[in-house]
Amino acid sequence: MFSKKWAILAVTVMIATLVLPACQPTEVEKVVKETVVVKETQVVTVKETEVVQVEVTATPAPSIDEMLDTVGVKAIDDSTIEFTLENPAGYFPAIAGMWVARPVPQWTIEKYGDRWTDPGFIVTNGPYVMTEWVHDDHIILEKNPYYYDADNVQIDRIEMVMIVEASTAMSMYENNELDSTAPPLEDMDRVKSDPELSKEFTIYPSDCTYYYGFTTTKPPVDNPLVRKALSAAIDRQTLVDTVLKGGQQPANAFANPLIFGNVAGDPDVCPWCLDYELGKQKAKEWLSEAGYPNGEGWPTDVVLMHNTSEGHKKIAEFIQANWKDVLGITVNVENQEWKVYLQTLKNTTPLEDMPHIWRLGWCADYPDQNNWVHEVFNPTAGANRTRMSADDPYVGDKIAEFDKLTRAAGAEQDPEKRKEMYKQAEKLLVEEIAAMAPIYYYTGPNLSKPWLTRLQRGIGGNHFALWKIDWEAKKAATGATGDKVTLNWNLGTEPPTADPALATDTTSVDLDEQLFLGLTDFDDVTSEVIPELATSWEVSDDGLTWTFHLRDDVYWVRYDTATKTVEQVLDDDGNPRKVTAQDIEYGVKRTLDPRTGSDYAYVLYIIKNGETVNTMSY
Amino acid sequence: MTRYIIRRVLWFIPVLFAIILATFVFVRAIPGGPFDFAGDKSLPPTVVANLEAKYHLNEPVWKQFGRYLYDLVVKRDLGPSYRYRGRTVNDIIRSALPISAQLGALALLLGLLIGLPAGIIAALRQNTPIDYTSTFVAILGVSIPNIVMGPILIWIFALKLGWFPVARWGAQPPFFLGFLPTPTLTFWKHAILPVVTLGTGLSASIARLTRASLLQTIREDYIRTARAKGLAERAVIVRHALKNSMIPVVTILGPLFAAVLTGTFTTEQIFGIPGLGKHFVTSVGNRDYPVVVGTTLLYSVFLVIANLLVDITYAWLDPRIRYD
Repeated sequence: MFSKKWAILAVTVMIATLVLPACQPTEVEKVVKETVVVKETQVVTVKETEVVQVEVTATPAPSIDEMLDTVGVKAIDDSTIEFTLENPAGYFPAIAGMWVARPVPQWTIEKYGDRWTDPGFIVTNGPYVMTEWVHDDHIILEKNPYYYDADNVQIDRIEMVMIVEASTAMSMYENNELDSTAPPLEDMDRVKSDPELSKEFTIYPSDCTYYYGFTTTKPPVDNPLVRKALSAAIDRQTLVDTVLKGGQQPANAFANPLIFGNVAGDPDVCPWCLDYELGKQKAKEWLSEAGYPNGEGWPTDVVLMHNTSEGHKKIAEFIQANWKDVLGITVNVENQEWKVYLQTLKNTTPLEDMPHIWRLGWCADYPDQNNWVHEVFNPTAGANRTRMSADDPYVGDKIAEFDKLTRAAGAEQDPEKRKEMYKQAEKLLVEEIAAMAPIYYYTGPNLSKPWLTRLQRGIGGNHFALWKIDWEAKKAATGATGDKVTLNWNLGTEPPTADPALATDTTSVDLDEQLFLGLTDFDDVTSEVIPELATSWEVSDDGLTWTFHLRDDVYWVRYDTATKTVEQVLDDDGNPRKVTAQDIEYGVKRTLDPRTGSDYAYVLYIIKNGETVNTMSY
Repeated sequence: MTRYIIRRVLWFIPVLFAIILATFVFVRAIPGGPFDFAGDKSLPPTVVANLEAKYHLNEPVWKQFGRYLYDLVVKRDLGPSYRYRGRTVNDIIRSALPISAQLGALALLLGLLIGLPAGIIAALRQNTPIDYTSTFVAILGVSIPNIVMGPILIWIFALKLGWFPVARWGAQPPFFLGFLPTPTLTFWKHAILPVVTLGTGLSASIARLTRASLLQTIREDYIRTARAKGLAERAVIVRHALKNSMIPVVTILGPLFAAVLTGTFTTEQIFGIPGLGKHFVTSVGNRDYPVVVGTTLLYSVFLVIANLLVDITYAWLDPRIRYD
């Protein structure tokens, strides 16, 4: 309450200072007479001035619509779209394919408002169309026959249920009601030992990293030696084998193995993170060097905090025991409810309320290091919950170097140079500054029926269009009938939205991936940027202008709930309406329009004037 | 009696007002707002401010409250959901409440059908094997939570025997009269396991309470009098003992009715039933203020109405109770 009042007061004062003088008469000097005279040997102009009162009117601030016109996205013609950036960004093709930058149907949105994503209204262009959405229960997708690659889409229908309880989903899988599921932790041992289930079990990589952050300004973890000791004394492999059990990969750096520029598993980076014998030895040395030999003199009030969850608690207790055993120190494990926890971890929280060590995870928005070391840890441009600062008495110079490095790596165009720079940044982050302790890279344990040939979940969502089902085998085993090859899938929860501009969670993103194409996409296995709507793209020499060339065989479609058919949307001349560069321009601008209320708009701030317009008040 | 009912109904207004006010204020007092973060990523303050302005969260709380009351009373609008963009609280209640009510009503019915006879027989045959069995089963029913009972039933009857589907509800909107499902075979197949899960727990409580209350009533003087004047045992039990012993049972049925009809989180979650139960719980974590207030208000309405019905029933059960 108080902070809001102060904010309002501050804004009022600011407006008063900026606006008021401009509205009032202002005194200016005005030249009233000019005389040319010869002074000594030079000809000079002598100006006589007097002070006069003039009315100065303030230039009206541009409106949101006017500002939107200046945003750096422009349809050059139907099949060419050009982006102008604030700064060079080698990772831009990854951003261009994200859900918030997808083309959306302007005419439908203007007609139906918030309801435009309801079945019957929603107009899409992806491999599937949404034919039914019973909230909190199920969604049905049917193959889009007009999709440009429809011939290669084998699955005709996807029945998505929303079962939250993992053990129920597991039972449904065992009862052949689902074709694929993630087994719950408590079933993991049974799955691995069961002769049938073990054959259906796979562990896929996943795009998230689990880590502990340090509040680098709060003693005793203000000393990098202490932070290094804590990080080195974590037995990551045993944690994975005995607590997590899902084949997770012990982490030696922040960025996950699916991310461009990652150094996961690189023996040059944080060797003591992966070699526990070395880690234990180093940890003891460092802690001793920091002034706590064998834990003597260690303060009793050091807090390790996690958000309330049984899983995080088990991990925290395991690591707490590691520190006790190796370093002889005690930390207090505390927890808070998720939203309260996030509030606590803001880097504006008073230091005394901030835990010394805290747990967080990070998942890719797009598979590039810029989304990782830069956006999360950069001390001046990132979230910087660790409170790194170039004024740090121990490693201020390293922090300044890290700051420069992640900025430069984002702007660099040469992929090889970028990789090298990110490697240096990671080394600084985990070894020298040691602002965080990477713990493990998440995995996706999965069970899939023998008749399903699937791919791992890609960074932008699952690509059901590329999956295959042996329909005869499924029919024989499950009693399924009909000719439509059907996938039974668990979404896990109700998607909060189907609107690409508003999606912030994996379920909504997964749904949007089936309905809306992006300019680019990510390969499911390598997570490299691959063409989707755009067939090719190029960047100007200064790295500021990106031009994408679009396919011309992608059409807008809708599902007619009365006739139960998928039909093409027609333009004013009665021709099938293609997805054009104008649709992309509209989609990007709509996300950046503050009136849309897109939480994720900030990923498009790299586009010229994106941030300016998105942060305008209305 | 009519005057009493009118007076009670008028009392609903200040009671519900106080509930809305308290919920409205308290939920906003919890740290963390609905739009501070996207996942765990903090959003730029201006973006948060814009989103808050969109939903009038930038206004003083009294003004927000006034706006809420106006929309509620004049437009019967419980506001938009912050989490499920494009859906309103009215939408959520309209689609989820009927399903919760169907599950709850069937479970309550089952609870009464099993609980009442079991409790009565146990009381009348006190300290016999029937009583011991009934008491044992009742204690078991009370002790086994739904979160254990549900998966056990699924494992036996869906996975091993294959009689019923594992999960989900067998009816979906639109419903007959807004809440009645079409009683198809699919509906019953889906309904049986969750109804049994929820109903057995209820029947156990009802049975234990019925037994205890009836045992107490049977020892009353007026029962001895009834027997002494030569009334048939059946008439003694049904007319005199049973009717009077129902008061404690009816008392708990009121809140039970409100609780199970507006949704049961655990049972709905285990069986993947799209009822209202989850919204009571998840809306708090999401700081989805309108859903928190809306569901709480709905539950309160059910509760005050149920309690009124309970009080009216008292007068019928015990002629000594008169309200006018």
